[in-house]
Amino acid sequence: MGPRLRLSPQTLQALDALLEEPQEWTYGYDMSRKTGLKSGTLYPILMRLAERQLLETCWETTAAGTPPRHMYRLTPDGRRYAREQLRSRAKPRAARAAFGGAEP
Amino acid sequence: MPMARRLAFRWLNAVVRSSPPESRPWGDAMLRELEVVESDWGALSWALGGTAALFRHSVGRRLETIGRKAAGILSGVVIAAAVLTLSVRGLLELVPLLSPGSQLGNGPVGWMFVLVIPEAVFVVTAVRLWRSRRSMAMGLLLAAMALITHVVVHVATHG
Repeated sequence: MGPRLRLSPQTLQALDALLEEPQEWTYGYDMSRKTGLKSGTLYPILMRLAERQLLETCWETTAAGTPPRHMYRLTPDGRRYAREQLRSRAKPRAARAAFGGAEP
Repeated sequence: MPMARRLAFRWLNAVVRSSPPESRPWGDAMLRELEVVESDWGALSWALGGTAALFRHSVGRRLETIGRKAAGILSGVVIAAAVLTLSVRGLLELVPLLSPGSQLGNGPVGWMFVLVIPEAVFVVTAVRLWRSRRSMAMGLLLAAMALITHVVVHVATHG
């Protein structure tokens, strides 16, 4: 794996969306609608995930005349990484809620 | 096709065509998605966001390359400094042992340790590294040139 990934809230949102149906391929625009992230935010995240081999990409095979679309899904490493990160982020939040702390 | 969508498509297409090859597949991916964006203004926003993403990607790659080269040159200079230090240290330690009465200053032995040996090491190593680690070799040559310049200036000013 390459250098450490910066885990911004937007990256976590993207990982969360990719984990919804981890075996299925998803399109960039569908992810943008699901997460509310604009292309200028979403694509740099996808690029970084792909560079670190956490995301697989492929071009859709289409009928003649239809331009192919680029598709994405997490690699097995990516799924493991996403689950770990989302779980570790969820723990402190759950603890704060249990002790009556306010959500930030 | 409405004007906003046409403009978005033309704009992003031009940006993708002028992107470096490693960013182009991502640009093509955003261009394909542009066709499925529902609203025309949304398409324009998608194209502008895509431009920012491609710009960041290509600039990031360039900075990475520049950083790698700078690190290579710097390591060459550091190696050269280490060689020079060792050589001068050798001069200070060995010469009094081998020939107790000899003068270190501007004599041939002094020049050998301070200039000839380090320069030879720099040039030979740089030539050997030129194909595999060019930036490090450039760092060594840079150090070799700096040393020669220093010696020339020293001789010119002190005789």
